[in-house]
Amino acid sequence: MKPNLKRRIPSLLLDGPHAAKSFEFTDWQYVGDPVQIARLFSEKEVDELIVLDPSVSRDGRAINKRLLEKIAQQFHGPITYGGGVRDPATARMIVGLGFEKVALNRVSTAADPAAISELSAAIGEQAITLVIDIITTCGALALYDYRNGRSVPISPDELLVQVNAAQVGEVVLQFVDRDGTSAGLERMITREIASRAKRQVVVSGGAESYEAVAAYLQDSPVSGVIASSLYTFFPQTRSVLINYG
Amino acid sequence: MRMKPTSAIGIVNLPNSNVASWVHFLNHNGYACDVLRKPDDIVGHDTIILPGVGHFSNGAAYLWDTGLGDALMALHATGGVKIIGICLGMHLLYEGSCEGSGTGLGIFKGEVLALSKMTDRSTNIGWGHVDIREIGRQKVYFNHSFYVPPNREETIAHFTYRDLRFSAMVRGRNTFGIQFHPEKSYTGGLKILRTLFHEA
Repeated sequence: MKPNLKRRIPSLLLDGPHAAKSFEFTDWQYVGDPVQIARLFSEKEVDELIVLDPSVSRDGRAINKRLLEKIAQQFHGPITYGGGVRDPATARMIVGLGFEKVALNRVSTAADPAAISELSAAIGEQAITLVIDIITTCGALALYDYRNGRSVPISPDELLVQVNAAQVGEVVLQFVDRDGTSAGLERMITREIASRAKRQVVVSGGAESYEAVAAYLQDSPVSGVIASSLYTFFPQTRSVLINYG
Repeated sequence: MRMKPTSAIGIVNLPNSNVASWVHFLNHNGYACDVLRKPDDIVGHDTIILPGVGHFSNGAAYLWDTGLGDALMALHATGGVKIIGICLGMHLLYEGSCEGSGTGLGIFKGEVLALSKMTDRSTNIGWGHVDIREIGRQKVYFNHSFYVPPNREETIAHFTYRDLRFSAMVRGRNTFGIQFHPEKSYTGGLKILRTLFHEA
């Protein structure tokens, strides 16, 4: 079976008007001007860029349309936005700015199961990415709710059912407890889901080096890897260095 | 391939489409362009882009309701316009699509089909290499759930996803359909579009 070329996807996290980087989605560190960072990633012709603004849902802020517009103007490759997109009108607005995919968190769609099919009718299922937050504390798989920090245990089979039931183009398995740790990408659960999923699966959380990501992509049935720290920092000092080798 | 400078590029303002991406991409690469919203807007443009994100039914309804579809077909009949349809825009060049109701422009015969009916995945998202007749091998970005089967007359590049072979690019005289997104494919996409824009 002939696969596509697998994608290495930098993520750009927004915190208000700034780009920032988190550790397990807390402890935010200032990174720089997101428009300039998007321009640099565009010049490097990255496989895709995902722009996430967790502050929209977390703090009830409005989507920063002006900033997203500037980012889209500077970035000339595939680009996804996630943060506070719930309804067809907002999804259309994001696509209108120049993003071809919107990302939704499982938590927001679980509260409103009709939301995904409404969005799909508006912009097409290929334009929707579902992000599932997962933690694997002590080896036990659990769905994570970023709103209250709680987790609910789930079996891999149940997770697969959720992945396949979603009418979306792609599912991101986001291993929250690996975020910003460079501890390595999760292998076992991801393989089990991605090899049996009817959707393309992308993994996020813990990418440690170019070499490790390349080896992982060669070996794993995933369609891509999302990484933030890896493409944002110089590894030894954690000083900002936008890179994509 | 004889080269001539392109003149005016117009982008059809299809609903829910990525018109902004096209404007950014073309301006960034030194091409002026206008967004077309009504039949009169077409006047003076010899290259028309039908962009594509969104749903076939909505796109088809927009073309016929605004009168842009009839204006485009009238111009097409004179041979005076180059039409480039991208993704959904490519599908709108066909007679219909199993994505939804509505009639396409029908410049190409046949119907657009669903990936989910033929493969174990409903969407193809990602990069691949395509060999395009007279342009060569380029790395391009796909993001679609529907496809056009290969056809001996029209297909000038094909792609295989999950064992399914489909048309990556079709051509009929001065009409082109492109399943992937050249406007999202950096230098590879630019090379393809430059060739199409400047081709006599």
